[in-house]
Amino acid sequence: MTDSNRIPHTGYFDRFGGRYSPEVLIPALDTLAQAFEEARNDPAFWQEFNRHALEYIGRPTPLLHAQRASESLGGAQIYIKLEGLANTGAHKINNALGQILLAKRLKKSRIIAETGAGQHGAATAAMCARFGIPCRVYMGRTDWRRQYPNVYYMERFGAEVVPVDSGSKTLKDAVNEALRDWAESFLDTHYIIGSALGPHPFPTMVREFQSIIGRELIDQLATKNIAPSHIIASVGGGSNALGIFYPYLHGLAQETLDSSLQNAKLEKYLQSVEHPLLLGVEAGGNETGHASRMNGRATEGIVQGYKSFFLSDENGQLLPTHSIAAGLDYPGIGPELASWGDVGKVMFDSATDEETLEALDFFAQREGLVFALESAHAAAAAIKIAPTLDTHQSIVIHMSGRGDKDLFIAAAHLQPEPWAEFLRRELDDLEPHNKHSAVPGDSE
Amino acid sequence: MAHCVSHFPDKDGYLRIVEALVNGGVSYIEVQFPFSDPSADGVPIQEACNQAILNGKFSIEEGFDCLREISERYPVPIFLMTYANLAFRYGIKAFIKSCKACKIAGVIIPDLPYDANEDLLRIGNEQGVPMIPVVTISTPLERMHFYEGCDCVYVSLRSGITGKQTIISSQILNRLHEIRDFFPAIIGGFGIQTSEQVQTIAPHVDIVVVGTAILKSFEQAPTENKFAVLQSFVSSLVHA
Repeated sequence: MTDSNRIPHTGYFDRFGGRYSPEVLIPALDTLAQAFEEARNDPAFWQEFNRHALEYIGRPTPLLHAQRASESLGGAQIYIKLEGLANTGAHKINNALGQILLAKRLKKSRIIAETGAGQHGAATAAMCARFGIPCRVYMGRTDWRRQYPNVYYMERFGAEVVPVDSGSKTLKDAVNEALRDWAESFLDTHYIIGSALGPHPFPTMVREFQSIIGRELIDQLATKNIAPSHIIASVGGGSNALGIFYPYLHGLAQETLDSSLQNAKLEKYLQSVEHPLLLGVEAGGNETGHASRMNGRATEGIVQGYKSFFLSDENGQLLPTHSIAAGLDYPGIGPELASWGDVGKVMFDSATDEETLEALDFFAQREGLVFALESAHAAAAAIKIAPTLDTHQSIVIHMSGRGDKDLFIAAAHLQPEPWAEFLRRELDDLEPHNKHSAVPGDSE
Repeated sequence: MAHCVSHFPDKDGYLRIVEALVNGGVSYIEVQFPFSDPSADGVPIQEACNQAILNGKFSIEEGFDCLREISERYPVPIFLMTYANLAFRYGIKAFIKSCKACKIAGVIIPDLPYDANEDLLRIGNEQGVPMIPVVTISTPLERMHFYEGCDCVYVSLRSGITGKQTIISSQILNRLHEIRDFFPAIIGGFGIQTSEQVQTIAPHVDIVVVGTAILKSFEQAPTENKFAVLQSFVSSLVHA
């Protein structure tokens, strides 16, 4: 560490993270960090969190034994954490819930958010609808186009969705735009960042709210007495991966798990269990590009308020990325996950767009599950790993989201002709109504 | 102080803009090294940065080459502004050394604040290329203490991003007087667009920065006399 100015409470994970923020936002970040620390130690805060998690999100999300998929691959038993069954369709709702409760404590009267695939935007918009707070979501124009179903949901939830036309028009540009908004509006506005990135305290806060996934998983594994050899999660910014890896990274201490199991049983399980291999799967993209950062292609940098690995050129300019999954199409990786990757506690692999679509179809046909394109990257890695293991071994795939939002992308690839016919029919049906009103949204 | 973006609209255009600023009579120039993701800038400077990277083929090496040329040609002191990632990628020490070779009067990197400044403050002082902290009128005075000892501070007259007009209130002016207790010299900027605004703010700061307004005057001028229009706009601000 060469940084002599390093102050311990500014959110470093080893040499990653920090609070590389212009002074203008520092008072807001200070206030937020303090409110988060208070809330985190306040049982009443967690009581409210848990009530909404139960009643609205529908927690706990199930852990499914994917029996036919396992048999068909002929190796390890595959278990799938069905986080996609969380209300609004993905893990993003856990963080949106935690942060809206914080915003309430801070008496903020307006919420902003960025979104890539639209899952975080939809989760935030849904929370704002429930808590009656005005909401604006920034979304890169490219993502706005390809994930329009989520734009629709955000708007139905009452949010204003603003397409962003700067840069590569994807997630990173949406983050920039949200930061610009917040630099002006922080007095009355809370910025609900969607992944475990940005300046401190965001990475810690997001990880804290997402760790409910991993804590639940341990409970479920202990109940079934399963000790997986691998836990596999897709990685964009890293919030779903950190959420599910959390207990393994931060110590399998019983007191942190608040299990529903009897102490003796959980303790016995925790003592016997070996550490699984934690595998993050990045976007391998296609011949035009990728968003694979942890395989030696990214370098250390300081962007959007945090230090981590970024895909950038020799002048420090961020490089364009590509993924079929909007949620993984981002040139940086959250600082905590970067630090675990740096010391080899989390390993990384990538899956291409094509492998992802194949994985999506594989689990649809065998398990009646539709993965989100992001999570299908984890499924693709599992398809490669499972056959190399014995049938008595097991692996866990994190299905962080379900694929409803990807209908238009996946169907166009998997059954193009009938899908095109359907779209034409729908458009024909719509046209008489639309003669008097313009198609909403796109101003290009 | 007039702001411009290195290699915008391209390398030659940038050097001609600097010439027009000097001929227009500016006392200082703030050169911005363009970054792909300038999250503290409004749309006009974002677009200029984009163009500098894409059309101007900006590189840090060439950026410094041009600064060396400019510093040899003109007597006007130059401040260098950029974002953390460029300086960090280049190496903070190497960056400061290159600044020194170009006789840079000070370095402005808003996303390297005191508590996360990668030693910019210390190395800058050692090398005689001071880091110019960027605070805003809403920055608590307790935080100003961190930067005590700096000869000069850059004060954003408004919270937010560059490019929107700032209404100069008595509150802003009072705050500037409080900030003066901490620093011998104040650079004031953000949203200064007209001669009237320059006149209002000038008695309260040591250097007034005009950025986006200069960029806009250049972009809106007819192609055949862009540089002349820029020069006369700058001259009108200088003589305000």
